[in-house]
Amino acid sequence: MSIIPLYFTIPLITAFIIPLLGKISKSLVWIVTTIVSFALFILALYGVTLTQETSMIVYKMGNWPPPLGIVMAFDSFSALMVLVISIIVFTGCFFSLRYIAHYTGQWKFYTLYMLITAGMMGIAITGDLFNMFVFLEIAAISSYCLVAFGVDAEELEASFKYMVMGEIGGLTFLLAIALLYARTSTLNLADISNTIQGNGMNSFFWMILGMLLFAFSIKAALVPFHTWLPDAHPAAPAPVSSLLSGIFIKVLGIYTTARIVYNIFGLTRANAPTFFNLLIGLGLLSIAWAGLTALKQKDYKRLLGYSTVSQIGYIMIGFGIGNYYGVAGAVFYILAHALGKGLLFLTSGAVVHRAGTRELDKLAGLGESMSTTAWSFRFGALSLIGLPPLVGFFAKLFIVLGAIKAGLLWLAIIAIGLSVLTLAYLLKIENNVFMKKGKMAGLKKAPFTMRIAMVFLVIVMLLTGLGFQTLMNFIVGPAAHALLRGFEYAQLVFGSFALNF
Amino acid sequence: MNEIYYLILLPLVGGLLGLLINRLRSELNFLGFFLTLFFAVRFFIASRTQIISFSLISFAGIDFRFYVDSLTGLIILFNAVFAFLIWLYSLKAVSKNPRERFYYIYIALALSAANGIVLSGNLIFLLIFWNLLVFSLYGLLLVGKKDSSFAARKAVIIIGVSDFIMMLGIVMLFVKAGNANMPLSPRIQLTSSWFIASYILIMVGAIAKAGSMPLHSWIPESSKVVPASTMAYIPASLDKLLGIYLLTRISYFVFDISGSLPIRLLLMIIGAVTIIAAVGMALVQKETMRLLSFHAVSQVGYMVLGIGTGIPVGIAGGLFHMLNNAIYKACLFLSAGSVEYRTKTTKLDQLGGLGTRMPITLFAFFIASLAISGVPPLNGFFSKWMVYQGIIKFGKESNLWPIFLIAATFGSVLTLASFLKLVHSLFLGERPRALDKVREARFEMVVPSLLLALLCIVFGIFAYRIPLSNLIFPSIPFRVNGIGFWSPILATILILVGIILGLIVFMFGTALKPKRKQIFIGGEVLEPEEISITGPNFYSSLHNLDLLEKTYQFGEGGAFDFFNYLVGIASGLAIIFKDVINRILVGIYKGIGRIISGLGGFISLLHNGELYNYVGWIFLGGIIILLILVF
Repeated sequence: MSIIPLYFTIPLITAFIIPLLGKISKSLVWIVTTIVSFALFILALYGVTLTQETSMIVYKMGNWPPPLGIVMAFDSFSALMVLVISIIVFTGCFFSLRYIAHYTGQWKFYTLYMLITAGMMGIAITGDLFNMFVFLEIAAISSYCLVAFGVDAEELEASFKYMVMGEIGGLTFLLAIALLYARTSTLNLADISNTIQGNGMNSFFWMILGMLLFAFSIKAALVPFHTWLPDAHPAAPAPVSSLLSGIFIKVLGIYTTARIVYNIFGLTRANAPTFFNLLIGLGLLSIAWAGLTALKQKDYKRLLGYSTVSQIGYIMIGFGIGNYYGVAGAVFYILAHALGKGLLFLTSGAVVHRAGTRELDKLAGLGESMSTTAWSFRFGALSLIGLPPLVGFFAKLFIVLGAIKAGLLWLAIIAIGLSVLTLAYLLKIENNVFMKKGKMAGLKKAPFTMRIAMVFLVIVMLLTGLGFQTLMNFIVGPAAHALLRGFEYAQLVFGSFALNF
Repeated sequence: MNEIYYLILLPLVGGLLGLLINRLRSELNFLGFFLTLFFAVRFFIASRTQIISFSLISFAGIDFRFYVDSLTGLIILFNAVFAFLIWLYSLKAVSKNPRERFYYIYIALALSAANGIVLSGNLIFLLIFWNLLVFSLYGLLLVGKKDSSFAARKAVIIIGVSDFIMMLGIVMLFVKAGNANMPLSPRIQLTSSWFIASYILIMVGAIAKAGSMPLHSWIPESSKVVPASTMAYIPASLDKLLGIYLLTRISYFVFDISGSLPIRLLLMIIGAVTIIAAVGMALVQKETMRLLSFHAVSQVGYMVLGIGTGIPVGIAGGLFHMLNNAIYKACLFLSAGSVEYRTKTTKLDQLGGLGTRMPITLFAFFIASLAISGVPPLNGFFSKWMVYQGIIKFGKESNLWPIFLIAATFGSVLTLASFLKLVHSLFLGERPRALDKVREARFEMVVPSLLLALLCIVFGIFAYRIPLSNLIFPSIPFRVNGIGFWSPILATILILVGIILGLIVFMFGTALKPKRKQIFIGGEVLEPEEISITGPNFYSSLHNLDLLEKTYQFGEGGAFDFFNYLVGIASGLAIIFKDVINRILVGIYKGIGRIISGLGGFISLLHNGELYNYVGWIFLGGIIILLILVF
């Protein structure tokens, strides 16, 4: 019995049990969700150990051999994504207990929360293109609902915009799948990869790739496709913002792009320089554009939203560099940014919960009264800025190293130079909210469960930073190798079924 | 070699535990700093006889390794000494600050980072600790007297710029040389323009850390708003030690600048200009901390000058001066801090006559003032003397040496003059009535300043026997022959000239002792303060200086006017630096800020929240992507 399908079946089943439990007791819902998400975390750790032994674990749904049936292909990169998803889901769940308390219909929240988890997990492990689309839509539709969860005018508007733009992406993805199916007669990723390897890249495939990049860029919120994010992420409840900014856009936008570009289309910097330069260009544009906009924001969560767009740019640059260090850096950055930005959105939640406002001008002097929150914010911010020995530093270091090794010295310099923007906008929050003396000094501390969630993330961040060598050897390095093996992906998926034919 | 880890981790652990267990904070901090000091001494002794180098991890061609030689041991020892003394001093001095709890953790973090910088044997590894130090500096500056967040931000931005420049240099070195080990063997000769650029970029980072012009302006800015102990700790001691350490390392262990005359001339010019311009600005300050902080900038010039000579005596002199400067400058800041602690002001015209009230502080301050002015037999004299000798020997290579010598001696003169003013305004002269009840500072505050003052004397009188032959000479890769050529006559003349000139400048500025005279103003009774003569206006005539007028006075002849003229040049330079360069820097800083802010505002305006607008962007982007990929 393989554990691979458990990753999405468990949250999927939980999502449909929760409405029943919700009729019995509110707290029972939370307890079940927390236990499930913790179980997912343990399973994810187990999954990482599995990938140490076998580089590719394939699970056939209904025992149909590929390409006839749907397969789940679980390699190191999937393992890493699953691990990060489970960490953020677990902390967000802990944080939700008190944060969601004043909303009505709490079980609906947890149902959607589990659905979005199921969707993300599914994307990370599936080996089938259409299956990927289905999971993507599960996750996306749940996220539209979660953004609108507060049902105020602002939230509904944000959700509507998000939905329109998100579906432009989703439908383009579907169109690309249809066109691809018409040409290759298959939906299995490995099989598509084989077809492309046989035919070579022609303008048809380039068009498909363009459409896919377009769709995923919308999901990943790269500039100029980012406009929904600064509305949608702040509107959502804080644990959901943490989930959306922390990992959601990376699974839906970044993971899919990387997987398809590297493993399915088999592109490398050597055979497709234009495409990789395009990725770098999108990345740089995002960093600069969104970084500059973030400087002018007056809303705590909106500023963090723009910061997310800006940071996603670094990940894109890492993948655009395309050598081992660049890709490892990008993978590392996915982890670092998930932890850091997840944490920052949680602190925003704690601040809003106590102070009741997100306006930076009105908030002041919280550093003394909410010291755990303030210190969590500082750790998260320092990691994003890239201060050693926190994990964000190593992520940036690898990206810069990758740029240098690829002979792109100018890129390394610009990337370091632009990180000043990160410092500038995060200092703005630090100075306004936590450092400035103000009359809000008498507030209570954040609730206990919220503090646990934040401290947990801080500890994970410190551990990942200090043990980066271990992390590199067992998780990040293999993940980068998994991407860089290119077309070998298809052989690995089919290889385990050679006897079945 | 476990001691390396102890040296980096112990202060931090002590500080963190102290932060967590607030009740035992002092005890835990004490353990942290004291044990670090203990291990630093042991480490120093061990480093005299062996060179230790081992690799922590290594990937992507970067060897994250530790490297220890006698230079390392020297800096480690003094890092620990200063941290311990500053900690002792702060116990009382910072005790009323609301953010006191965090002050100690930043002091500890700074020590850890400083030790890490010195221990790392790879420039990229060094950068990690270098940034940690910036972080702890930011934290320390935030523990201010008043609202210090602006000063802290300014400091971080200026240091951030210089660190970025340095990082660029290191990357350039790494790209071309293949590794960034320190020391590097064989050393890189400065022949190709790539390496010259790389050296200059790293050098800028190093001397900016030490506080050289023109990236110094955060030091005077911060001095107004943070406690004296912070100033004594970071800009006066640690930054000097680390900046000059790095300059020595890159100049003679990674690159080899002795073969490249233009580079050395560049260093010496920077040194000379820094000496003169900063001391000129110090002369016209009216506030203790600001005045001291300009001297903290000015003294860096001697070190850079000494190291730039490329002559063993000069290099040894530069390093010795670094040590001495850290000692007496920390002493000055701490004593001035004691005065401020008791009188609650740093404005010179509100102070005076404290000598009888605070005799020990006066003693320490006076000794340190003499040392910084280079009066024998104190330590400042010997190191300056060695720098002069280096410059004279440098004369074989370039005819420009007299300029540097004059700049150095003249800087010394002005230093003496400005310290006479400071001693006068703080401790001598008329005592304002408000200060009648001032007592000697607390025991914990007096001891560090006194110890440092005694160190000035010991390092001066036994200069050769104790510091030079034990600390300095083993640390540099050259043989220094004795103390160079010791020419008593030249030495005596130079010293005498220096002292006399200083006195003349002093006398020119002031009208001797305060005299009481009956003033008739039609029967009104005047408060004594209104008619007393205070120190700070000694050189106020320089403030509104006009070069033309000075030339005119010079024409009228007389030695006084001649010095007035020289002082005028210094002052003019100072004005150039203050007004022109500072304005340019501020302009650039503000201009870039405004451009970025404007761009941000413009882009924010583009996000107008209209859905059809956003969808338009998306499709435009998509079309561009398709066009790029398909064609």
